[in-house]
Amino acid sequence: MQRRHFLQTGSALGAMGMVSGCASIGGGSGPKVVVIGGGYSGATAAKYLRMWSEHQIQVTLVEPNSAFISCPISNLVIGGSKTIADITTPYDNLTKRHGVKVIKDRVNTIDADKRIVKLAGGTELSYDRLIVSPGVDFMWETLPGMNRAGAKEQVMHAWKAGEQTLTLRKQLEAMPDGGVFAMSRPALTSVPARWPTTSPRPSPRARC
Amino acid sequence: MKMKHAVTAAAWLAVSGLVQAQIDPLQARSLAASCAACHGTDGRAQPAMVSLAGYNKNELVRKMQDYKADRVPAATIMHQLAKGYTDEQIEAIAGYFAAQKR
Repeated sequence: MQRRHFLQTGSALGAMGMVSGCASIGGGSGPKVVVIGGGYSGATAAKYLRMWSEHQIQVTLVEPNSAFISCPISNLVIGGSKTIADITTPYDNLTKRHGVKVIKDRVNTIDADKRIVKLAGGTELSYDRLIVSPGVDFMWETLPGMNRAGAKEQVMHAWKAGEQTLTLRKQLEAMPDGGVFAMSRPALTSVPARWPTTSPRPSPRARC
Repeated sequence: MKMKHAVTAAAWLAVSGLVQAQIDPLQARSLAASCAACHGTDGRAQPAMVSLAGYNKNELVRKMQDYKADRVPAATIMHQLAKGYTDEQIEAIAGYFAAQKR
């Protein structure tokens, strides 16, 4: 089911490449796609739109982080067999190799009628097509225990690789032999219902 | 009337059969792109992963069919993935990778 879903997306991207040049307004250049979020899906979509349109589609990627840190394989950083640098990839190559314009910012609002996204920094971007792939985030208000003072500094989720991964690694290093390590996950009922049923959910064991 | 209907249906089936057998090059590219997560863009893999770019077409078809039919021991996820493709799609994917520069 999931794979088929991906294939359909792939075909749609291919089709978008085919229609390049018909949606351009001003500037004498191709249609504009804005991608929100530079995770696996957003960055891959940005790259393939450029590749498969033979650079006819202008692609702007909006991403608040300056580099991508892979959550898969971050277990190896926690275990000590890889460093965080090993799983960190800057966004430069998307620009250098594929001509994707990368803006380090966060999207505040989407105006779907006017086809404009507004960034936290004040920039407005117009688009012909929008790809929304901002990734996951926590609804802290639904986790009262985590709102106690110091809880977020002590209890790591590591569902987003980076600081969380490194802190968890340090905690494990500092743990005395025979110490207790507890791992849990939210009950499935607390997983937001708006998650599409085809998207992977955090499994009890995986941290990503 | 009924007869005409049946003839039309038969003709339609024949046409759709033809369409299925010949996979559009863009569709082949889309199918092959789903391999990129592990095997790299256009099959040019990172070290420690099999590169599919420039891979012999018949060899790749044979391997995929072996995975699909469980004729080789399961070592990776390829057994599961191979079962999701028709013979025509496997041909098209193998053809796409064979045509890519290494």
